[in-house]
Amino acid sequence: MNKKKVAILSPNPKSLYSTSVCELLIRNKINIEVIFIKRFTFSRFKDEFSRDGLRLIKKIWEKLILKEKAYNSFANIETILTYRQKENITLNNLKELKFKGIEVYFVEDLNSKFVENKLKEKQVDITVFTGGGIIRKNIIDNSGAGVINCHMGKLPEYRGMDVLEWTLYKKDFNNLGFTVHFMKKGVDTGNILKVFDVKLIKNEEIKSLRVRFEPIMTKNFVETIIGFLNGEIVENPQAEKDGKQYYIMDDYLKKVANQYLQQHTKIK
Amino acid sequence: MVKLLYTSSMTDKLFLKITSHRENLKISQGDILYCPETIKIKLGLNYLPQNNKTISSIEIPKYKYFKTIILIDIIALRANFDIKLENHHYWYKKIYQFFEFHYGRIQYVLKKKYNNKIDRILFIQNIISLLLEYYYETKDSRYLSLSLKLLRIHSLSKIGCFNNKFFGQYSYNIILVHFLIKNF
Repeated sequence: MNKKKVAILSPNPKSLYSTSVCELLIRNKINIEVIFIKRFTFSRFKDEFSRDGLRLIKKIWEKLILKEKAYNSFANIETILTYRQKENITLNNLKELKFKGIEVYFVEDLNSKFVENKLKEKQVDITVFTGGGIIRKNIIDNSGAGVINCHMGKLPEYRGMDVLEWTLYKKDFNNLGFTVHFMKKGVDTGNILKVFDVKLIKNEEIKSLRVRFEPIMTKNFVETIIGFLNGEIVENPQAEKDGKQYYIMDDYLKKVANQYLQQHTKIK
Repeated sequence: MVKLLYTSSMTDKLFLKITSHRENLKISQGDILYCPETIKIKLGLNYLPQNNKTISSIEIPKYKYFKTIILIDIIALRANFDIKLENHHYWYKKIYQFFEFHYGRIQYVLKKKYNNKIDRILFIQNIISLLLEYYYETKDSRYLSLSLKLLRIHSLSKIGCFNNKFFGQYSYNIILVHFLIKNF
């Protein structure tokens, strides 16, 4: 049987999520043909700042400056770091994959003509999205079966941003989870491959819950990709009317959502 | 229905001057172009001027795009609030999506639409009132979230940079959002 070919879209070469996904795919005999990494430029900063505001500074601080140290305060839960240790994932930078013969490109825009042409040339089976913003039709249409994403909320109900917080705010504690799905023009409206539940543990907070999601998402994302490529998992369409699109939640409501979560997990 | 936990530890800085906003609204009644009667009664704002009856008879046009919206459309939409009407519902949805999508560059968007700062404030504060009144009727907390985010844009709350006086419609919105958070 021919090895399946994939392309990777990544927001940053040192992303723990991107590097973990890539190493696990390679271990499972998936052929990564090409990796596109979004270059960090001033215009990217400007765009993301206008969307995320001060959250972006926090994100940069945690992901690019603190890196592993950002997980120091989560000693009692499984984080992406402990998961990497357990699975012996050693890839630290996507650039290292150049030595394995994988083409790695830094691009200003993941939707550029260059990426589109490369995808046309590589004829991949799917493209795996590990972050980097909105993906346009020209990329989706040239990604074989499509671009696969892992969304931190259950689809179709919770689309968009801060869906973890929105689920908690609505006290919808039994609907916490994530979804592996294909990307489409509308936000989180593409065909669903698999929906996963995440169960709450004692004394949970939004921060720790987000950290707990990371290794679970990484593991199941890779398993679903492999399942799909092997024909074991099929895609199911979702109706646009079945869900709502959420945006960044106001800080006050986030505090309320966190308080709901703390109360709910205290009783347990 | 989602009931917020409103405890002293959860006080938000938006509500620190709630008493001043009540006072301010009394002296800035002229800034208020419309207030639903039910809200007037619930919030004890009976001193606000009578609503202009002709506003309720204004027909809401078909929604085109944001550039074409003018203040009177928003006032008319507030005065003829009806979520069952497809056209009205479409307006609320589009306005909500527009402001969420452009939240990061909202001041730029408003400056492009209105040169005059008073016009910008009047427009955005009436949009916030519309969003809050939508939340009041539907309990869709996405609208509450957007209202809170817009109310946090300090430059859209006062007319002058060195002027301490808040705009009346801003004070109305603060009083309304405070009431909604405490009671819903």
